[in-house]
Amino acid sequence: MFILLKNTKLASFLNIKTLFILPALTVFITVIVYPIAYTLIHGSKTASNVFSDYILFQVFKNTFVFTLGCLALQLPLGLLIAILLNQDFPGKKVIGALIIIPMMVPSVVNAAMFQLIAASQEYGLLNSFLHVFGIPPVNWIGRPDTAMLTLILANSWMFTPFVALIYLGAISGLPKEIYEAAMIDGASRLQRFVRITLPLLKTATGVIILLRLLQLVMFFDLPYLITSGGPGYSTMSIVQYAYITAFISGDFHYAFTIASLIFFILMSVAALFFRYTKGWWRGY
Amino acid sequence: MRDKHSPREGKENGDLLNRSVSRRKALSIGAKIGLAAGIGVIAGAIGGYLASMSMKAPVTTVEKTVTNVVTSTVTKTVTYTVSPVETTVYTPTKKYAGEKIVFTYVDAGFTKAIPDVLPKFTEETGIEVVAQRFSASALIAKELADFRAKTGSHDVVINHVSNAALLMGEGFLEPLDEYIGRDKDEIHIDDIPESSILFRWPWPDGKIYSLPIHAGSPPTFGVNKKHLKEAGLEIKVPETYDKWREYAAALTRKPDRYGACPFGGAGGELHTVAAFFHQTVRGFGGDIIVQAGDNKWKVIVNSEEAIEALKFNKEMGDKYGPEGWTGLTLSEQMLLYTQGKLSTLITFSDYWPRACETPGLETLFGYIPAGKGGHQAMYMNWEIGIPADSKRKEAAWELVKFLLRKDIHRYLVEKGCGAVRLSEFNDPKLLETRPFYKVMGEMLAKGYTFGLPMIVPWGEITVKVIGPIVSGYYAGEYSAEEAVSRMETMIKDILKKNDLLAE
Repeated sequence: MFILLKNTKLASFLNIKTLFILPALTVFITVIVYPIAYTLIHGSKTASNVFSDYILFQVFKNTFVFTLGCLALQLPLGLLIAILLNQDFPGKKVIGALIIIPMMVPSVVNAAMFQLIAASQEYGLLNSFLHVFGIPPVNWIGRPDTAMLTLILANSWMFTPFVALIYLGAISGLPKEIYEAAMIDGASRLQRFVRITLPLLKTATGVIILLRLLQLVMFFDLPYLITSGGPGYSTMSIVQYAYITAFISGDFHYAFTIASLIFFILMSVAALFFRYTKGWWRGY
Repeated sequence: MRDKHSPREGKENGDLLNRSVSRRKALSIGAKIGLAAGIGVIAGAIGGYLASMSMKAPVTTVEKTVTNVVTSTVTKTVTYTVSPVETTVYTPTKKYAGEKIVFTYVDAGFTKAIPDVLPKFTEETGIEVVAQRFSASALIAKELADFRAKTGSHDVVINHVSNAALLMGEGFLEPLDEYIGRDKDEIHIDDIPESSILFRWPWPDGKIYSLPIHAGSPPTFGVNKKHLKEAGLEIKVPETYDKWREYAAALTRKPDRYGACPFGGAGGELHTVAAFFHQTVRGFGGDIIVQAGDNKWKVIVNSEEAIEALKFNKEMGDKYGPEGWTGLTLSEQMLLYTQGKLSTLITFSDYWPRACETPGLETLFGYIPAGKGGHQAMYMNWEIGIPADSKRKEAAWELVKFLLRKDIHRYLVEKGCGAVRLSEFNDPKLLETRPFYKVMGEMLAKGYTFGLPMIVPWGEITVKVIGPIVSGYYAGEYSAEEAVSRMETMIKDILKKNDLLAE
């Protein structure tokens, strides 16, 4: 057969080297490509439901608010911590070690902890603390606005150290000569920070935003464990909604449609992000 | 020439293999690690102590004899026919000895004692049991995934009745009629109230797919007797919703005491908040969906009764409940009650034992208040069944029989499982510590209870629609009219998707 096919394009494709990848290719097609294609074909029947799904719009909005809220808190706070840790002061290493402890706590433990802290006005730790200062208790998870704030705080407590570590690595690698030159030119501390530090940290900021964006859009554990997506739908995440659709409603096709939507949106956001931040990746 | 691998040379060049650490530096590093660990432990201990302090209920010691008095009004004589426990016809069989079955159940208070009795089952039957526990949400997710994949990896399962319709509708549970018919004396089927057996509910094919093993419902109404005396109120449980409102107003003394605290469900438990809403709607004379034809349902939640029910619960919570009542869990509600800060409470039999065990606290138990719809108490329970894809059904049935056996189930009830048998609701010994069982038994016998609509998407309707919208209304996200209108639209969509909507 190979003699017959000799010098044909098929023969060049069917060489022994190509045949070696056949087992892996078979597994890939069977385990990944076929299920995705099957679900896409059957899921397309439910794709039109997306436009009339009230809950879907709510959860997209929640995910957007949560993502923006977390980035708005974690970026400046992480940068501040990194700048502080970049200084020399007594106990710096101990404080540095303590700061990364939240990152080592499993998210389920984190959620249980924040539930104890924020859960109720009568017994929550946070309200007991506020009571000491005469501040009236707050219904942290019983109101839509404070429930989302609680989730943002819970996520920020866990991931701000991660942001700080990346910034710290970037800051410690900044060239000192530029700062020396700026100081000679009479630049103030604020000017050095705004005109030199921030621009030089664009790459690190880009990395952090991209990584956190992908993680934040996929958030599930905190709303699932702390608020169950409530009150109402005010803290339900898109992934939680996909989970409920799949495992409570039993509608795996529509759940896959939602998951596909998340995938395409994330890809689009990442593509746009890279497109408009080209200058950030050139280094300094 | 110095050897570049000599210790001194290695140290100067930073060669790790030849680097040496001075004793002083080693001690310094060790001390720093120890200090960091010590600070972490102290911080954790302080945090844990503060957390436990904020959750701990005050303990009071009372030196006088306490008598719990239960007052309930019975309007007719009810005779219960109960098979005597001592003449149980159960004979352990070794027919399936050597088999190994997988028992999957929920990790909850009522299942805590199950591991105690499994060794006895193995001893009597020779059947080995591999028990696996999951949280309620993980349980149904795991079961659905395994049943759809037909893995055959479960032999006996315990599920909440709100998921039972989904499991039955998809053919995941084995009909038990044949087994029950064969062994009905062993499980004393007559001792289980009719309303709690699924085949009495309108399931299309009329078969029994599971049996009740734990019932925290019907919930009972409890009122602090001492608070009634102090307020100069009649020492009885309010019979109607209007009377409850009056009592709550008279009993409330914010911030020291609250007259009522409905369940708001802000922290989760969407099934529960939906069930409480359903109960109140029916009490006010309405409903959420009603059967209209052969397996077709009409949505009637957009009604004056439903609006009234929503507004009633919100008013009770806002006016007579604690600040942030929507965020309280069922446990926290009971904590408030046992601390004497809450005067009236409707809750499940899982939680009332804590009140009964609190020294100095006397509770009167009664029916769920009546409205235009009469007394309407939800009945939800946990059911035990056999998956259709189990390869060891006969051995599995032996375990089902064993756990429902009167003496074994009685043991489980004493250890926290909810009663499901009429004999348990009327057992004098159980009534000493659980006086609310009498009221529960009466509500079941009088037909004051209603079950969940046995339709496949009911779990989806409660978790995706009713639960979130009701808790959203309590949190101020919608008006009552908007809430019921939205519920109507979304429930209709779900029923239509499942070909259950009556046009």
